[in-house]
Amino acid sequence: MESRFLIMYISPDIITVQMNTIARISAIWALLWLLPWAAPSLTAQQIEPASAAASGDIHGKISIAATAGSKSGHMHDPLLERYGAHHAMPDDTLNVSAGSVQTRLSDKTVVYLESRELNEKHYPVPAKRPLLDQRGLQFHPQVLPILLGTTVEFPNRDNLFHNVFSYSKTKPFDLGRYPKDDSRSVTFDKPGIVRVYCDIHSHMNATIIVLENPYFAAPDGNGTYAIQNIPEGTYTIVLWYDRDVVERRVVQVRSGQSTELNFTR
Amino acid sequence: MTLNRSLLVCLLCSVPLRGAAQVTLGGQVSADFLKSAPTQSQRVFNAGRPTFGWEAELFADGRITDNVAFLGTVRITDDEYVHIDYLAVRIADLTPLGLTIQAGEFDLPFGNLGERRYPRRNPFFHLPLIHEYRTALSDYLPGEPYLAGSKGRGNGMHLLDEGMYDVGAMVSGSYGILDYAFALSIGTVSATGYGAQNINSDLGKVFRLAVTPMTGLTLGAAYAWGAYLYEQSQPTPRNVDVNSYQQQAAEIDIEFSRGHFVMNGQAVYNTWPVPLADRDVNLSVFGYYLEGRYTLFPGFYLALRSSGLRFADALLQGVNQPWDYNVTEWEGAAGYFLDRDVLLKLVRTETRIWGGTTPKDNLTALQLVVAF
Repeated sequence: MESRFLIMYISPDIITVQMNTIARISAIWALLWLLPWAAPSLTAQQIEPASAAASGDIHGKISIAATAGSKSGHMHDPLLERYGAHHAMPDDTLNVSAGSVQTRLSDKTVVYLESRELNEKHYPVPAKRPLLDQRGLQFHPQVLPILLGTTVEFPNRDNLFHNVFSYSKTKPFDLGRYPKDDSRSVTFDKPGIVRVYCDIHSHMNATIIVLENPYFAAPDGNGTYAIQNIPEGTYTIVLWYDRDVVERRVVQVRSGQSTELNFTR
Repeated sequence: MTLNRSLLVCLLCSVPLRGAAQVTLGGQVSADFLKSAPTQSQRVFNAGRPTFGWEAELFADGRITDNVAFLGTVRITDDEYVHIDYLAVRIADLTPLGLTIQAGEFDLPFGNLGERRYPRRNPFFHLPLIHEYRTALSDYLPGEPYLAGSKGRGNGMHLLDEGMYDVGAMVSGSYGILDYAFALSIGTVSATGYGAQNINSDLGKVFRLAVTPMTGLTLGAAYAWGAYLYEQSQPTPRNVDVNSYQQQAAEIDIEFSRGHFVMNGQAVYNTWPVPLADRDVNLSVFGYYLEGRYTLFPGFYLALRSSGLRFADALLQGVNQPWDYNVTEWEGAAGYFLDRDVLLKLVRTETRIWGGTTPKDNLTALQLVVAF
């Protein structure tokens, strides 16, 4: 029955899905409502642990217009303008070109799956630590999805101090000031959203999304993404852009199939 | 507001209307509760009665092209005065030397106070003592009896005029690890033209050089000079031109940071030549402050600042003595960021004035700052 509630919750977003996907999801929706006694068994079948035979992929392309706006890009630091470096600050909101939009898209965009069933399992933490670079007075990437328990490295690539910190309830930390080519790390042991800033350069910001399952992906420079080896089932796929969730949809993953799901905003 | 300031405001405000400038707005608002000792010194608020206060800074910045921008800061205080602290056009990275030119109203490049002018970045409640304490010397050509009788009254000039906001033009730039700046303004570092027109025929000059030998350490030095007396004070006792009485100030400053520790300090030596009825006298003062801030855990810091003013001896009314009372001040602060842009701080200030009737003062301030 939990699956039904999940679908009810996100159902308004279904209207944005492509027509064939709508038809497919509508069929499941109707089935669950018309045959309520069948729902538990269907759900149970769908959340079986992933195996090579019972898993599928989701892939697609994300296109976000430059005019969609960037909250992080608008973060302006008047004090840095007055008392910072003499040269002009890098500001990606003021010099948007077609090429740079795609680059920023890969830096600021993530898709991930929401599912209580997926979250209840335990997943091995990746051995390679993901990086949140401080480079050119910006964080790269500006949105970083990680699996719960992951340790993130924060290397400083700039020839000046940065002071990375977060006051988020999920994981408050303050790494202090450290020079170029030095790094500090933080392990994220609670799921949730962690807003990351630099205490010296107020315009710098990033978001770490601490997820309970490993089914997430960031698009490449062309906006193409793929989430692979997902257990067969029906999930909510979330599109995160810049500072917030911008879209949720329901997607059904079928064994041995790759479902195409494109996002355009 | 005087005519030239009105024109400046109109000129700068018209910039975004004519072009494609992108204007960004921001600001800081602070509300505070103050309780000082019930004494009579200039460091006392409201005769020691508990008092609430507030202050707001509003920023309006715009970029006209990649290299041309305008910057504006308006400060409103609880006395309901509107101060224009910053209103300047900046042309950055001029080729081939990479110079930046700024014209309008800005703060003079004397020292490294920088963004600590603003409550969100100031770990304490006050600016350093050398920016706020008023000496016995007025820029209205004080007579010898007045000067000798003004010790500790706080009727005169600051050593450094609060935020040192002044109207003028500045050229600045960098060369490797060196930063340099040269500014011309209508006032001097202790008698700025802030909120007024030029008071004499001279311009204030400030030259600053800073070096950053390693990340986290910046050493700076500056020299400033210029006439500081009002021309309305003419004629001087011996008919000497007031513009020949040139204030001279030299300073060194340091900023060091590493890990969770940040330290700033400044030492200033200043001298004002003063025309008296029968002779000139040089009034000199040495001022300093050293402050440190340490972040104990995310969002919580402790800070300590030591400041002082040491007045040199001068022969006044037949007695060779310090021309004002020396001052020593200690400030301790604890601050906690309730949110990234919300700071609550508790500050205690202890002031010792080495002379007069109120040798000890103190102030306790609880301040809430919100940046947006």
